[in-house]
Amino acid sequence: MSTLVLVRSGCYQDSARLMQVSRELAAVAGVSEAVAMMGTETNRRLLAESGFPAAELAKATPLDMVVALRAESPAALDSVQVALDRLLAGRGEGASSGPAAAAKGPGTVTEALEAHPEANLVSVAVPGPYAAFVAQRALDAGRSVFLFSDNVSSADEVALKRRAAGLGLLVMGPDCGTAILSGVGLGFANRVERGPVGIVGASGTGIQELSCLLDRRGIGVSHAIGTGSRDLSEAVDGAMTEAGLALLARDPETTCVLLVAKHPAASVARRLHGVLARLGKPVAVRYLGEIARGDVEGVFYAGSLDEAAEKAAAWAGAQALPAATTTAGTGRRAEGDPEQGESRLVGLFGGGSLAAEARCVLAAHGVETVVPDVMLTAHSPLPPGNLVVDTGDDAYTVGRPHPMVDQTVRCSLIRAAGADLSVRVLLLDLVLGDGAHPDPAPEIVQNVVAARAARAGRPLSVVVSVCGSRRDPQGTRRQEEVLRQGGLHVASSAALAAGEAAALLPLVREEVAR
Amino acid sequence: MRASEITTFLDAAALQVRARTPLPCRELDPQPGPVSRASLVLDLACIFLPARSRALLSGQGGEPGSVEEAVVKWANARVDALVGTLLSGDVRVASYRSDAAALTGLGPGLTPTGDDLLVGLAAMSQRLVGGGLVEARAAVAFSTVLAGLPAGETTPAAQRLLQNAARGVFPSALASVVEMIGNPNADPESLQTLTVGLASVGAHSGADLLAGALALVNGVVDGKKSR
Repeated sequence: MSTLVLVRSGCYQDSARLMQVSRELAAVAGVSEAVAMMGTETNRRLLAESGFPAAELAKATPLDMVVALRAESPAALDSVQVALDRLLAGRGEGASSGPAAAAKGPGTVTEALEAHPEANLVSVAVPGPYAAFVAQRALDAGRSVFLFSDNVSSADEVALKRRAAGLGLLVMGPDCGTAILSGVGLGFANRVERGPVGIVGASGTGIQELSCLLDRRGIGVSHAIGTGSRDLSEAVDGAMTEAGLALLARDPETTCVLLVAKHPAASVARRLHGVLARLGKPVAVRYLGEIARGDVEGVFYAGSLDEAAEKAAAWAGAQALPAATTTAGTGRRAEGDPEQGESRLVGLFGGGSLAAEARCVLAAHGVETVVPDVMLTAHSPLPPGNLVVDTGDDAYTVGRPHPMVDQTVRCSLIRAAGADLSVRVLLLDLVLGDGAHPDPAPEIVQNVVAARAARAGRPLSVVVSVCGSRRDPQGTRRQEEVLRQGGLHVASSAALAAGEAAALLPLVREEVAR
Repeated sequence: MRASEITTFLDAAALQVRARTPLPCRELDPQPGPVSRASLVLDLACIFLPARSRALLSGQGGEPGSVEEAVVKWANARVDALVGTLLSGDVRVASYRSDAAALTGLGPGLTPTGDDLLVGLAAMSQRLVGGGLVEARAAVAFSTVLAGLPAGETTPAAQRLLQNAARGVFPSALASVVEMIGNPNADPESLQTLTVGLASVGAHSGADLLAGALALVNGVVDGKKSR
């Protein structure tokens, strides 16, 4: 009896695939046993104890696939190696025919690029621990990367982006939620027309809000390049922000540029200011959470996403919108309450950038908010104070899709906030577009109605901003109408919604005092 | 990239590498309903048991002398030991370490069988704490061991599953079954449906998770106390 151990480095496979490989190899003539496993220490020990050569096994790591084979003769093992190569390349007999094979799609970067050699961008959405490895393979192949995966280490991000910069490629991400390239949306993106405004963003919902605000003003987007939220950290040093800005500076279709990011490191912001000042095209910047600085050496630092979009729209030749049409909502007063008591605001956001924007606007209106340092649950009392919560934060999304897709957690918190009679104003966002929930408004309304019903007549004002374009698949106008019919105040941006909510709060307090 | 290539680059269709999304996970319901030993006996009698789970619970499976047979025997012995330690109420973390370490990374799968068994065991131990059938501090000691298992000894996907389990977050399909087992008010047909759903997760991950959970139920029903 002959034995053979094959180690396929970095070839991670899910359980179904491992089982398929085991079964198909075991079916090869002359093979008595075939086992495909990941190369963990325990598996290596087990295989060694089962009589497979320990020296070969020692080469494997938990990231590698180990195939252990027993056959009647060395010749049979040779044919198994050929079959294994075919299987892993997706050309095994079982994988090469039938509708299941057609629907399977590529399993590795190599397979994907063999199928589409013309593509020069690889979109990577695999679990975080594997993502850097896959992205490196794409860079090896000379392709830029849209890295949707999260849970990629900072060290891996720095290494990937240094390599990309050296190769003249882009790594958009990790945790890059949004990009729009020549009108094609990647990740979560809104369907906007092509136009003269280029966007670089270290913030997915920041890009979405800007592109929708431009869309509401009839202005399109040339390209929106996401960079991942850590790009402007000291470690990453704005590597892909700078690369994206350079691309837009050279792009003839782009006549002006918007940059959006959360809290850049001071040293990075200083360095990027020089890049922006020399860009050669009008540029407006929105650093979320920071106050307006106006024009600084030709770079416009806006105080809100609305202001940044307005500036770019003006550069692109759009007429300024009359103030009355910038807010879709009509309600300005909270319903009266004859009873006395505390009154406070709770913001429950799906978009982290929109939460940051709302906090900034609320503070400007004198409403101080806190981000709870504990995760809110439907079963525990709310912490005190005016609260702003990003339900897209990692703590709320363990094992769940993002709240833009699955509203379960946010809806449970809407009901929990409603059950707290001291909460009088609820501030929400609703992000539409490709990748987002197909019809989110009815579920939000349903839960607001349930929350209000549990308050024994005590009113609850709800203001919601809608981030959606005219062509989004959910129907932005229809979503807004459903919200209005449910008794929610609707605003066309997170900043306007926060302003409305801030205006409602004193009115509520006055009513309470009376 | 050269400036002239920007349009070419940006016009290119995105190429989506097949996404392998993690299993949906959640915490167990903090109030999952009552649990009694009598109901556990009834549930064990009627629950759907895939052949894979049966093999792991009995320690018998695979061709004689095969690697599969070795996996099943090894896993069964270690799980049996852990069940004994848990039901003896042992609160010392060290008492669980060697058996848990012997299971992590064991067997086929992107989340190897041994890791799935550990997670199933952890979920059920948390459930049975609610019914007073497992000592709460023993369950905590076991979870502590899961959190401390060396990252390099199993696959990254399994490491994440273990870390989640250590803080009480489990695959949703497992959590739904675990919450219903032993509840005298539960509908047996619903339990059956949920169990079939769990068994269909992955090639055999679901069956392995189920085996881990049922190993502890077996231990309680058999009145196992210690090794």
